[in-house]
Amino acid sequence: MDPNTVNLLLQLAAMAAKLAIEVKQQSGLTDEQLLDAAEKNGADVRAQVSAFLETLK
Amino acid sequence: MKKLFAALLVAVFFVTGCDDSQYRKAARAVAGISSGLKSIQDANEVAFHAGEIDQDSARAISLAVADASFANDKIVQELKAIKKLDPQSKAQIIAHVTAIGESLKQLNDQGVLHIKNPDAKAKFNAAVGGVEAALGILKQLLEAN
Repeated sequence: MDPNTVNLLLQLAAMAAKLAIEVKQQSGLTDEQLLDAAEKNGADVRAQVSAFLETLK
Repeated sequence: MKKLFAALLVAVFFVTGCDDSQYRKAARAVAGISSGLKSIQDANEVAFHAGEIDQDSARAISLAVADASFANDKIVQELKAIKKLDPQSKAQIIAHVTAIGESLKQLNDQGVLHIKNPDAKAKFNAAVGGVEAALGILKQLLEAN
């Protein structure tokens, strides 16, 4: 297996493990808390994008 | 490879939440999409600062992330306004799911075409794959009776 494929597999495995942990953590949240978290994450990422785009000007 | 990964993530998602209602699965999917979009933007900024992608590509990726995030937020607001997924609410959500899918296509194109470093590209692809998996779950819920 070539190094690039191994690298991608490792990245994907890490991502799957991270997601499994996140899903486990989410199981303790109510539906409303899940949606609030999604809303906050969304606002945060849009603020991050705005700040990054400012640095590109 | 990415399709295999997306299938794996969908399996993880369903196995760990198989008793959940459709509404809760949708709430988890939008939460997954929002955190995945953050990972994509992080990977974008790291790749740009490392000189892996040029300014135009970094800007295009950022704008696609913002577009996807806005569409995902519309779904969050729809879900907050209802307490159950019914045919009417599903129809309203489908348009936003389509918009996220279009942004993901742009992200795939930008990442595949412009990120040259294998490690940076793998991180970017893994993050996009995570969002694709969550979006796939949402699509399945909307198509289910």
